[in-house]
Order: sequence, then structure tokens, then C-alpha cells
Amino acid sequence: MASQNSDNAAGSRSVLADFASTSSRVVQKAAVILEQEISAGMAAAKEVSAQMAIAAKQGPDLAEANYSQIVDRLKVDAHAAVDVLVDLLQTAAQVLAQAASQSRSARAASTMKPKAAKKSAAPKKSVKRK
Amino acid sequence: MPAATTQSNGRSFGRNTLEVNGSSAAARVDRLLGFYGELVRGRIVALLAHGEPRRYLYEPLAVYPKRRGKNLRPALCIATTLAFGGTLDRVLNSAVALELLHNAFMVHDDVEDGSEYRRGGPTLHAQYGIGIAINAGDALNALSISQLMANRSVLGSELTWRILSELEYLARQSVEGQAMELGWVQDNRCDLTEAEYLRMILKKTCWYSAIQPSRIGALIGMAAANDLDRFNRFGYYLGAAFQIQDDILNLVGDEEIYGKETAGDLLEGKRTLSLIHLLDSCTSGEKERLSRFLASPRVRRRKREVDWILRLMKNYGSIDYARSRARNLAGAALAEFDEAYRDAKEGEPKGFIRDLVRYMIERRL
Repeated sequence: MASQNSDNAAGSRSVLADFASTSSRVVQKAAVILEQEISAGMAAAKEVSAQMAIAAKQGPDLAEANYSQIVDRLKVDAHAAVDVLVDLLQTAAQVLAQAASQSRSARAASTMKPKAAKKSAAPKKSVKRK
Repeated sequence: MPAATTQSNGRSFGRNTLEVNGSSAAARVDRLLGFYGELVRGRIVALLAHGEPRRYLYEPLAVYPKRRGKNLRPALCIATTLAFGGTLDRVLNSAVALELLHNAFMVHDDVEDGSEYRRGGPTLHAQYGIGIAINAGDALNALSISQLMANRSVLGSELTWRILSELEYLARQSVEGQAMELGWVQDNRCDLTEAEYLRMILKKTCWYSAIQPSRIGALIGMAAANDLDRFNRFGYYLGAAFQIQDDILNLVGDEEIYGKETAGDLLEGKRTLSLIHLLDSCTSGEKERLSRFLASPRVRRRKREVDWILRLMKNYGSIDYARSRARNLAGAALAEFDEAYRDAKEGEPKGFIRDLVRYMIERRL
């Protein structure tokens, strides 16, 4: 099999040898266009993709919640298929923002001095009394 | 189904050896396109076998999948996964999703372009009416998403998210590219450049036909690869060669094999590379007449005018020009193949993808 593949590879290469140059004008143009398009759009897509991966790692409940939302929407409205994909990204971004906010709050609470913590708890007591 | 033996995990498709020459390589590509395509088609047809309203939705939904297509997208995705050590059961949902999305695009594109034939039969809107066809396209989109969601139980959340984001990107790029092409026709643009055409086909065709199928296949095969950008150039050059060859076949292909009306793109006023070359090469008088033809409604475009344009294209070498550009791009794709698939194991799937490059510019379908 390996021999057959390498022979086929050689066959393809010999047939395309005359025009296999990456320096041909059309290929150079295409390469420039691809780089432009990638820099314009792919960076943003990668960012969203990375955020979604983080959100998925942060907790199965968050991912579960997202999936339930999507399934519900698909059941309700099959016409909104493309919108769902867009909303999916937005939901992931919101989940990430929420998670980040929760994380900040948790960090702030853990770094509070005992006195400050007592102070912040004081108003709650007064609320209870009322 | 090819004559060769197959294994369900997709790692090996048989021991049949083909003779090593150009035509046998093409036969091997045909065989594997058919095999991978049949796996996906079978899943799609089963998905659509039940459901109501049958007559107004599920029956029309199954029309394009039941006609034999090229199967390029699912085949490229599956072969890439297998080449990188993945298994068929892990990639099948994504391959099916890609094909369903492609079918959705075709249904809507046919309405937008006013096309009459697809895969050897009448277009869906010609057969069932525009409303039913557009709704069927929407349903194919929804089904595509449900396949991607089914990935979660097979691939886990992270990989599923990443594949979804790849699909979101390709869907957005495709509609942007389609908008460019429709806008050019609507505004009767006769001053387009090759670079504009290359940008349009990158967006309309290449992301969803070649780049993303490779990226998704690798993502699954390598179980979360981080250097997917190496597939971009390979996929772009391959997809561009594919699109230009498609344009050429539309002009000079055998209608029975190709499955669409000959010179249908001219009747639809599509700005192909051959037409752009012709508009840039012909005399001002010829350009004026061409512009008038392209400005007229499709129903008023006559066959004798189409024949005149085809003669002009031959005289000015516009078809040969497009053909040579397709070869340049295929050659570049082959050069990029080595880099993109450098870690892939040697075997039938990898050999298939390599041969696919040459097949792109030699195919008649």
C-alpha cells in the first residue's frame, strides 16, 4: 500500500510539475487574499473559539445549560438555524463573562481581611432585624 | 460501495490494488468519493425516512441527497480524520453535517440564481415551488446543527464547541461570498478583476468546500489540534481549483455527466473567471454587447447569444486561461499538501487526498 501511494504521489507530481510552482501570479494573488481574509476574520473567530473552550472546561453545568437552550430553540423554531449558531456564540461569551465575574467576586471575598468581612456582613444583620 | 473490503472503523478500506497510472488514480478517487459519500448519504436518507409533513417537507428534503453528488466535502473530512489516526464513528456526525449544510446551500442558491437543473434533475424549486424549497433549505440547516450537537456524546464538549465554531465561520463566509456574487449580477459589474473573483470564491466556496472539511477532519483525527491554520492554503488552493474547474465544466462540460444545463452560468450572468477574462480582453464593441446581454433578464437571454459568447471565449482563450489558472492552483495545493498533512500516516485516506488534488482539475462531473 505504501509503495502504491508513493507511486501515485509521484504520478500526481509529474503531471502537475509544470504548474506546481507556488510563485505563479494567480497563486501569489490568492496567498495575499487569504492572509488578508484571515487577519480580518479568523482572529476574531479564534478568540470566540478559545472562549468557548474555556467556558466548556469551567463546568459541565454551564455547558449543559447551553445545550438545553439550543435544543429548546431548535424544537421551537427550525427556521432560525443560522441565527442559532450566532446566538450560540453570544451565549458562550455571556457564560464566560458570568464565570469571570463570579471568579472575581470569589477572589475578592477570599482576599478580604476578617474585619472588612465583618463590616460587609453588618448590613445583612440589620436587614434581618427589620 | 467499492469492490474492496471495508472495516467499520474506517481505518482500512481494502486490499484491492489499482494500477499505478493517471486513470487508475482517478478511479481510486472516484471509488473512495463514492464510498465515503455513500456512508454519509445513507445516514441522511435514514434521517429523512420518517417525519411529517411527508409530502411538503421530508419528501422534498430527500431529493438532492438521493441524487449522486460529488461528495467532496464529507469525503475530505472523513479521509483527513482517518489519515490523522481518527476513526469513522468519531467523524461521521460532522461529515453528515457538512453535507446537509451543502444541500441547504444548494437549495437556496438555486432559488437565488434561478437555476433549472441540479444533479441531473430539476432544481427543488422547479419541482416543488419556491416556498416549499426555501423551507426545505431551512430544515436542512436545522438538521445540520442537530448532527453537530450529537457530536457531544462522541467527542466531548470542548471538541464539539470547536467544530461548531468552525461551522459558524464557514457558514458566515459562504453567505458573504454568495452575497458578493449575487450583487455583481444585480449591479451588472463588468469591471471585475481576477483578485476580486479569487476573494469571492474563497468566501463562497473554499472555506466550506475544502478548508473547513480539512480543518474539522484534522481536529477530530488529532483530538483537538492547535495548528489548524496549516490547512488554510491547501484548502484554498484546492477549493479554488475545484471552483474554476466547475465553472469550466459549466461552459463546455457534457450536460449528462455534469448534471446542470450547459452554459447555465452564462444564462444566470455569473461572473466566472472565464467571463472576467473575456470582458478584460475583448473589444469595446464586444464588451458593450456583452454588457447588454448580462443586463437583460434571464428569460430574455437567447441561446444564440450564449453561443456567441462561447465562441468569443474560445477566440480570446478565456477558457484556456481559466484552465491554466486551475492547474496553477492545483499545483500549489499539492505543494501545500506536504506541509498540511506532514504528520498524517501513509495509507489509503492520505493517498486519496493527494490524488484528489489532481482529480479536481481532470474531473468531468
